[in-house]
Amino acid sequence: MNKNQRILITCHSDRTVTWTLSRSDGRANLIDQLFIDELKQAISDLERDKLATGLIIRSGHPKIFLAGADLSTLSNLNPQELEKLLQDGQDTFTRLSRLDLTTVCAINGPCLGGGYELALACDRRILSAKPHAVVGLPETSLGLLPGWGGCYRLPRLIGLFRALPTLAGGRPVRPFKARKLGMVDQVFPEESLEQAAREALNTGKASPRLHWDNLPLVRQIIYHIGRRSIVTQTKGHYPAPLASLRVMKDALGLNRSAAMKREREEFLSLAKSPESSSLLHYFFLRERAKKVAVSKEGEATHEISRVQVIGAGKMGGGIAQWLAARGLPVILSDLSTDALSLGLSTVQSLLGQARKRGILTPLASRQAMDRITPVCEPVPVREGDFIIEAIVERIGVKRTLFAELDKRSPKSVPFATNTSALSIDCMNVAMDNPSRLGGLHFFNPVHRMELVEVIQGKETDPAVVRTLLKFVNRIGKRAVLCKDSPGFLVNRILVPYLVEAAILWEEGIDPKMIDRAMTAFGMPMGPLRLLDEIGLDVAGHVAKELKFRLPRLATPPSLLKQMNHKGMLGRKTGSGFYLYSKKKGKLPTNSELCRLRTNRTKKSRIEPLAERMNLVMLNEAARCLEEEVVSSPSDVDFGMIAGTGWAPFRGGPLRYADHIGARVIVEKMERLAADLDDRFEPCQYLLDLARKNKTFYSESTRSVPQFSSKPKERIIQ
Amino acid sequence: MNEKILHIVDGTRLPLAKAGGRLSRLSAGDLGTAVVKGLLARSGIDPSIIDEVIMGCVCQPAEESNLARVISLRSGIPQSVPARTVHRNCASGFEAITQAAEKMAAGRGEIFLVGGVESMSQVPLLFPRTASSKFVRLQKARSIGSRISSLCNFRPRDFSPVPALLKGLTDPTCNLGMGQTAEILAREFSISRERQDRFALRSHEHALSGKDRTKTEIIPAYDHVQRAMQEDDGPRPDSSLEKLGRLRPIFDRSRGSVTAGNSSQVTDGAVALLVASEEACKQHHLNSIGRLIDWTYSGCEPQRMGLGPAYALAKGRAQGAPELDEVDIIELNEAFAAQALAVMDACKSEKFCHEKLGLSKVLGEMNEEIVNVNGGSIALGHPVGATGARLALTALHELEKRSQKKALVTLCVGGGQGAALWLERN
Repeated sequence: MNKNQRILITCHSDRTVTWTLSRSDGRANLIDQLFIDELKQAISDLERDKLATGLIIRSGHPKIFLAGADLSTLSNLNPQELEKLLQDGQDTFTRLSRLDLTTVCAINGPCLGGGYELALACDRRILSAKPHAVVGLPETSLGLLPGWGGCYRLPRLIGLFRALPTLAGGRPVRPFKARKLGMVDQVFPEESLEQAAREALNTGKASPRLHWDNLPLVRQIIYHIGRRSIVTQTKGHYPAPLASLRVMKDALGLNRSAAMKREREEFLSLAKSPESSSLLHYFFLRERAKKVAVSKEGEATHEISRVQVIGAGKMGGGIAQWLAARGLPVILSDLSTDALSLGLSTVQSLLGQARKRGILTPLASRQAMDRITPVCEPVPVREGDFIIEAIVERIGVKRTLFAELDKRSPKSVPFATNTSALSIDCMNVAMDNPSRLGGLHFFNPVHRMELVEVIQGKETDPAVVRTLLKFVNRIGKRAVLCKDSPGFLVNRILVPYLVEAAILWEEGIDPKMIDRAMTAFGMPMGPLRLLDEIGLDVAGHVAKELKFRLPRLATPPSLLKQMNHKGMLGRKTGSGFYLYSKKKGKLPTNSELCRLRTNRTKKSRIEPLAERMNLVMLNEAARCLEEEVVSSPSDVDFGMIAGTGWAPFRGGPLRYADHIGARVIVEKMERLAADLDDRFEPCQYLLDLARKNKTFYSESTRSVPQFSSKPKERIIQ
Repeated sequence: MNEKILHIVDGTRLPLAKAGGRLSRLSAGDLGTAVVKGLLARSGIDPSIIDEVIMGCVCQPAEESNLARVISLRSGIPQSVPARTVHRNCASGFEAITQAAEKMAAGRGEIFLVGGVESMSQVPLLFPRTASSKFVRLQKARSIGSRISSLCNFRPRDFSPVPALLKGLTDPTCNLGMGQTAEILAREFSISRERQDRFALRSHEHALSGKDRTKTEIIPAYDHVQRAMQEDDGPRPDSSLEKLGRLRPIFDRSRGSVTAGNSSQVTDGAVALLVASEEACKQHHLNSIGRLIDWTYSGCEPQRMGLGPAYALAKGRAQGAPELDEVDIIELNEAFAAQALAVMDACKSEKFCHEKLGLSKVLGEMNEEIVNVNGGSIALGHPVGATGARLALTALHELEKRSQKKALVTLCVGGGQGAALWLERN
């Protein structure tokens, strides 16, 4: 009997040994200190055992093989401890790879990060064909690189050319793709994994492979091409992919111990970088958002078996597609067949894209389409339904709709509105049961944006809120719970920023300059480009609604109205701040529009521009906390990153603010307020922080992401 | 008469689309799924209460075998609900309804989803049998030599496929096409070309004037690129006696009178009905739009299959079904104008009723005022497997609009059969 808590060892009569990775507490397998200790012991046993002929590593967990390193321990180590841990792991894996017997990994589920590095140290890798059985090295997505020999071994196994996108991109790879790339040797149905592993034991030790792309000259060329493409993709904001490429290239020319040393050094320097700690912060924010719904378990929620999406516009269609692709039956309703035609073609083209990108099989995509029933007259609402409204943003129309739905729906059916700016407390006035209405604010495009704001109105029943949170989780999105307030969280912060960009433009700044200021800061898209994407009509409507409810906000420039009149609504009409054509390539600015400005075109440095737009945003973010729109800075940061793509490597606006310091922010804002306009007056919350010399995260104690809770959630994925 | 009565709870259909036209890219499964989903949504029932799905289809697609099961699963009906596809040629849609009634009467279920589906656009082309054995040999050939030699066996005629539709519309027992059986009736009942054309024109006129009336039975269909189709595209507003008269006969080119204009159209269509026993209606709070009070199927000469309805009515009289003068409306399927007119003539012919049907009293007159008041298959189209259910649906809706009680729905069946349903509104 061994008393191991991570690795169970079984010796068979045919002189083979099986290690079963299985935690005594039944949780998902992760690599922690105890795991490494037990691994070392098990290896020593085998080194001494001259009789054993083969080793199979399998998982005792039904779904997960080995999900990587335990991030909660990793994030709490100081550099010396970290270096020791890295060296310890590297040495252990090296000893594993140098065992005299044949080693086989029978991988039944996710095998990621350190888990895959363990598999790389074995002679053979056999993978289950189930789609959830993914392999890969996702460390770069956390701003790190594989530090347990992954950078050394992967290119030697599959060649630098294939290793580059796998490692630098950090995306987990599905079974058949993994076999094609050579990341695993064979793919089998899960049931025959064990058998296949036994057969693989007879194939002997792995011998080094020759790859043309690992030759000195070729790898230099690949390095240079790869570097250039990474720099364009990351705009230089993410050091990890570059570092991993560098280490892989160098490691090919070094012996093992030198290569491992190189890997450690780069890992340590990355771990110190603010990008890595911000990305790690964002990782924990996401995990936290996942738990928002789970933490309230035990209380009653409504079981949803079908969703009625009312309104087949861009949002309605996008929502219907997302739900149907996740297995939910959907009734898509609108007033006319023309509207439904449009909605259905939105769904069809989204499914087509998913098919092209290999996310859905042709069968799965047809099944998704089959789950959607278009209807152009009201159909009965039954128990188990859930209604999501996504019709035109007019309060009167919505009120009437909800009143009518309320009358004819069973009491248990919850309603949600996908409004982006209207108040729920005003929308439920004509309902007999106003407590069943909450908000579910999806972002456009639905299939790309992970965030959904769950809105709790004054009267919304807590059980309905729980149902909504659980629903968001179920459909694979992440929720932030917001109070019913103007613009909720994301638009509240985003709109003043966009308005500020438009004001800058009106002042005569070159639109490209404005956008460059923010992309250089790390936004995925400049604010004026974003306005074009959203559409000036939609953005104008939201801004107007927000200004109406929060009069202290800056007035949008009157030129925006002119753009609306001239039909320059952004990309959908072919012209906005930029001119759009079918041809790909550079976007020319809309010179006709620029001539409308009274101010002459000015040049400016980009730093002051970015600062102005950022400060407006930070101020509004602080106000969200002040007014308790959300309960914590984590919510703000997570919402902005997941809802708008706000520079993830800066960890969100409030974490960024903490990085600069409230005092500096307040000083800058007061100077701007004096020079320009009242809208730069810092809010009370910021002033208080500056006075007390505190940070957002330290001030709000309940909000700090809990790094040391259940290890279950600490999986690199 | 059965003690347990089958109620029709709700029903709907897709617009009928000319074959090769707007819905031609949808398979029979696609059409059926669309109509069943639409019916389930508007009826608001929980699909798990359905006892069986029964669908009629004549040209059952090779790639969707047991079409009813394919439709059932694709529509989101739980997999625990069984499904079968039924075939009685043009009466397949009837067959689905009456099998539900028989099953219910036997105490083997209370709620059924029935209907008929046909994609005549997607009926395949068939290779000659000689070619298929050569293909098999080619597949079995292993060595390069034997592959080349089996390839050499092919002849040009092996590559001229026959439309399966043409085969399907030919009766192998008498080797006559359906159109040729209509020519026989036109000759024997001396139905002139002009009378046939006039009947066809009437069908178009009624279909056009009834467009608003039939709207209630249709749900929009969305084609392969999601364009909506809202109404039947068969009826021609520009049809006239003169135009019909200009068409050449197609089944007997020299002396015939049956033309494309006075025959039913080749069409894609799908119909679904939700039917249930009286107890189930009460238990699940389902409204009934009508009930099936009686039905018959009977056989006749395959060469004169068009007279089938007369034989069915004679059998109906024997089992006590309502007489022709007791029904308020009649849906008589228009496979061919000559065939429908021959049925009407036969019913009032003493000679025919006596000699062929063995009746002492004629079946009676089919009052033209109440026959096919919203047009028939000549104008709307005849998606063979779906037509039976379509006629029943149309009859029930028309009874509702007229606030009348009884309807007779009858059609002729290739292979020499006749079928009739009697429906009653509550």
